[in-house]
Parts: sequence; structure tokens; C-alpha cells
Amino acid sequence: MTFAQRFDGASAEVLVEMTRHPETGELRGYTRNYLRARLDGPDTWAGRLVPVRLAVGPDASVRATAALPA
Amino acid sequence: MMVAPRVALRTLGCKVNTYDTATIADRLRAAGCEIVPADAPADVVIVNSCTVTDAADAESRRFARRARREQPTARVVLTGCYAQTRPAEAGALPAVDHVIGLNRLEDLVAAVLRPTEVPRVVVGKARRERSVTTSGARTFSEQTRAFLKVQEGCDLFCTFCIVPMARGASRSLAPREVLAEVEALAARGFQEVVLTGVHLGGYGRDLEPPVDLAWLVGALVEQDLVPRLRLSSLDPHELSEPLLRLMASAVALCPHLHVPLQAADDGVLRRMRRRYDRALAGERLAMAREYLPDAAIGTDLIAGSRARARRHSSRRSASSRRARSPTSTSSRTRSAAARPRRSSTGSFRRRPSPPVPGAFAPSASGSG
Repeated sequence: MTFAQRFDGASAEVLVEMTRHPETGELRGYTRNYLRARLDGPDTWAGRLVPVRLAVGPDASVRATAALPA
Repeated sequence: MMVAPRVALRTLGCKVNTYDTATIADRLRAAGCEIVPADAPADVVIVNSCTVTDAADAESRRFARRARREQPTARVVLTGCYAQTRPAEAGALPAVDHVIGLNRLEDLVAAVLRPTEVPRVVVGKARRERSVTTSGARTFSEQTRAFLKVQEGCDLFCTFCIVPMARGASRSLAPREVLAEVEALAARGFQEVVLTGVHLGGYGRDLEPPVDLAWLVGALVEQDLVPRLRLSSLDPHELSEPLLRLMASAVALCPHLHVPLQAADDGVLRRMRRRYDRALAGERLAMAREYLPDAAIGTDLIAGSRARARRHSSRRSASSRRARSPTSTSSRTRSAAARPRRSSTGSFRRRPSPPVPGAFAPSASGSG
């Protein structure tokens, strides 16, 4: 199990960066313990701390789903 | 009325250099310059160079030549650590119009605005500098974190590292200035501030009265100024129990450590003149893991020469447990290790590291 996979299903908070992923258009940001997560959401989340739930793939990529609606 | 010169900035190297570039950009803006993207048409291209390895020196020269080639009508100004430590070599580059050392911000501005008034090479003695000249928080357009350099320079003189010669003696931003800067950033809406420095673990030793990093972080946490605080690199022996206890208890302090081990063999660590041995590093990392079970812990390792790596890699492998971590250090002429009698390094090259001790997670918070 990778470090990231320990946090599959965990609640976290992502600080959303100012730019979207150039290919997928997703928002992205870091958790407190430096997991880099991607998530869907509005531009207004940029620069904000967003409560999320994490889903970690077999390749250790981290998807975040907002715990509350936008 | 004079048209504002367009200035493009190109940066090599560490986060401190990125920070310095942002400082330069701010100062030039204040002086009336227009800061354009790094590859946009410009009147002046500033290359903020790096000297951490011989490869970084070569890359710095390449950046300067490329700037000249891509923008033949622009003036090229070389600054940063390579400019500071190799002024004669940098000054001999035909691609470069000015070489401006570290801690020479006003000369840099003058080289942009009034080039004929500035000598071609302006470089001072780094070890004599006593101020943290680039104090103040800096932010970068694509990031929501703000970086605050609270410490400059290094007194450790590890044998593989040229940084003490480039960045000068260790000196710290006064705690009240740090608090004021963090408060100002929070007021601007930043949710996270990264405390950074060339040798962050040396914070406060030069102050009167001396303090340490744990004290500073404690004061920041107590003031409850910003939702998140993150620390950049700390050497293993600098993972003190008070600091780790604070990280475990303060919600604002992110559970994230970057701990540049550099080697896991006591003989190599001694030759590197690191301040810890394998046992101490192991103890401190175990303590970090105990206090911070969910923390991301990253590291750097120097891969060493092929022959040396063969002799020692089994030791690193034996103690590895989980993740792998990238390594990116190579040879450094002019560092003590490069002198013939002290050479412990041989021919370094960039390559993936072997497994490393402890439970490391990928990290990108190195400094210096």
C-alpha cells in the first residue's frame, strides 16, 4: 500500500490552486499532509480550503469529492 | 515620458530562488517596469541562476545563451547563486550584458533601468552579508500558498554544498517581522503560508536573544493568524521533540516534513560533514512518525559515484520499508568534497535513488 492509499475514503481539506489542470480542466490542490488531489468544482473555489472526501486509485492518484455542494 | 521596460524573469534552482525572483519582480514593478512572462518579448531578460551542482552551473550558462538567442535585441542580466560564486566566469559569457550578485537588488534595478551607469559585473562578498535582504512574503500567480523567507544563508558547510559561499552566513528575520508578514498575508486572503529559508532549521540562532524554529512556530500558532502553516526542509537532527509536539497539537501546522538525509551510511555522512549519524536520523524519524502518524515525510539522497553506491546501497535498501523518493544531487566543484584530499563523491550523476529508510512520501518542499 502506498502512502496515499492509506487515505482512501478519508475526510480532508484541499487548498484549491488558481489554475485548472491543463488537460482535464479539473481543479487541483493539496491536503494538509501534501497529497495532491484533483476535484470538480467552480472557479470560485480557487484559493479556498474545501472540505472533501478522498478516493485514491491503484496508481496512487487522489480524487477529491467536495463534502458540501458548491 | 520613458516607456516602461518589459522584463522577463527566468529562474533555475530551488524554492528560495523562486522566492528571490518574485522579490526581484516586485521591486522592478515598483520601479516602473512591466514584468512579462518568461518567454514573452522583452527588453531585458533576467536569469536567476543556480550553482548547487556543476550541472546547475552549466544550465545557468545555457539559460543565458538561450535568452540571448531567443531575444537577440534584449539585454541579458545574470543574477543568483552562479553569478555570485563565479562572477569572472559569468562575466566572460558573451551572451550576458550584466552579472549582478546576490543581495544587490538596487544594482539589479539599475542594470535594468540605467545600464550604462552599472559596471558589467557587480558582486559582493556573500559571507559578509548580515541582512535578510529579500524579506517579505512572496506569492506566485499559480499558487494559493504564500512563501515567506524567514532565514537566509547557511553556516553548516557540508562538504558537498557550495550554498554557504553563495548565500552567506545564516541570518534570521526578526520574529515580530515574521508575525507581521504572516498577518499581512492572512489579511490578503491567503489560507496557507510556507515558512522557508536556506537553512530553516538554523532559524533564530543569530538573533539576540537567540530563539529557535519551534519557538517561532509556537508564537505564530498562538497568534492564530492563518489557517495553514507549512515548513520547508529540516535536517534530521533539527526534528526536535518540542517542534514535533507542536506539529501534533496545532491544527494550523501541516503534518508534512521534508528531511534531506543525503546518505544513510555513517562513513559517508561523516565525510559529508553532516551533523547526525544514521542512528540519530533513525531516532528522529521514528519520533516524527510517532507524533505524526499521518504526516508526509520526504527526503533527498545523494546517489554518489557508481562504485560508492554499489558499496552502500545495500545498507539503504535493507532499512527501507515503503515508498521511494527522488534524488537529484550531483557533483559540486568548489565545495569541500570536490577538493582532492576530501573528495568523497567521485562522479555523481542524476538517477533514481535506491529505497530509503523510514516511511517516506513524495514531497516537493526542498529548499536551499
